[in-house]
Amino acid sequence: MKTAAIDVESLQALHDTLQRFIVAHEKSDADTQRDILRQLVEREQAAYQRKIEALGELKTLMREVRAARGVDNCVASLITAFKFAAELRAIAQDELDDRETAETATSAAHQLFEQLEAIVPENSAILLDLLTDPSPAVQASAGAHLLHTVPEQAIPVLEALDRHASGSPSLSAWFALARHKAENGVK
Amino acid sequence: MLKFAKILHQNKGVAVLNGAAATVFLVLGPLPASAPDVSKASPDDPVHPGWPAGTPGGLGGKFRPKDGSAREAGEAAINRVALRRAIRTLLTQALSLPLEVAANVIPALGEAADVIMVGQLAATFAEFRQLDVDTKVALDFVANGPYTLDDLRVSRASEAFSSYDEFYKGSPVAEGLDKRFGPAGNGYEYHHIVEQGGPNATAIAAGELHNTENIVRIPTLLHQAINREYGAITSETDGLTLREWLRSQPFSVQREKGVEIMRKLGIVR
Repeated sequence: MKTAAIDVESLQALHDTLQRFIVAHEKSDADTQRDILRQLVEREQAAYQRKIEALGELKTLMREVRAARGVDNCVASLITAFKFAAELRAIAQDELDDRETAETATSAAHQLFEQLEAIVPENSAILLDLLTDPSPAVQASAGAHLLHTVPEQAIPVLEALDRHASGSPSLSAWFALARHKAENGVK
Repeated sequence: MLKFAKILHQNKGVAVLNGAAATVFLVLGPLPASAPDVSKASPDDPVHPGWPAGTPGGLGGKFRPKDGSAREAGEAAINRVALRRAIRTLLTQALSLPLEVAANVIPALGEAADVIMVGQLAATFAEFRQLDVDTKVALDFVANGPYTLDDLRVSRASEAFSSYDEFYKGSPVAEGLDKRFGPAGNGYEYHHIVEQGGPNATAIAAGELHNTENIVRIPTLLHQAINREYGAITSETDGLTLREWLRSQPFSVQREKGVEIMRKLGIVR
């Protein structure tokens, strides 16, 4: 027997789903209970699939970075991979709730940014352009990395993200600023 | 890059699809919207709020979160915690799987939920009923928030204790009380704004940790959401969690950041 599709995308919707499960249990309606559980399994499977695909793409992009020849190609592949890793990190924390993916993506983004810094000059427009990327996750990661070299450009971006963005980009921006202030003795 | 962006931004609504429909969705990705959203962001538009021109970071003219975003962020964080608990219950109670291998067996679960025994459903029911209580408490709490820190205190009087146990139970010799503050109530827990565990247990005086200004009463799901934020990787550069960094900071910094996390989750204003 199929019951209505479950919706767990908001707290109220999740509460309603739990209520449906409880009512079904009280009525000894095992089919409805199983159907709700099965849909939860499917939801988890879909999230897992999304994680596997994203990690696979990250691996592909990292491979392309290693295979790139010539400065322009290297920089282009590093930028592409960095943006992907930064976004994946935010998605892993805010949507997939997956620590393993978040750790992998964070580490990848950091490595990629260090490689970029090693081959392009400090204050390069290539790096500064990342601060105006449409993705708040990319801005936050780039801002945190550029905080020590170009604080005058990175700080306003991180402050704006801290105030106006949501989820992990906001938290990352706030944390980068708090740590920077603590390390530099700023009140 | 388009291909990668598509992978990252698949519609979260996949969860509501069943069986073959879900498979099709996973292969094809979300269907295109029937019409592109042509609305424009404006600083004065409450429906499509935007950042004003000149906002640093190239944000000017782009959409910004609607007012009340702290509250929305809080609700989203609670929802993630509650959903995680539901999934954990499903895996450990209904499907009798040890939690540590749960993630690896997800793809192979198949129709396992369809053959769950009635006895296992009963165990799941008990867990889901408590989660239902916790969810209802959190919904009510959020609907009436945000609060001041004073609102969340267990007592307006400033009282310090030598341990959490004493805060909870009271001293057996003091006025013959069996309990001091006792249980926080169904769906609620006590939260230390400056954490009591780890290095804090020895580096900070007990009276500073276990007092009526540092311990507040909040819904269980919000407490778990705060703990999740503390445990999340917060540093872009070295993978440190907020908890790992805060533990190296003085009490005043830990308290300030603890309150800020509560503010970001829409708990306090």
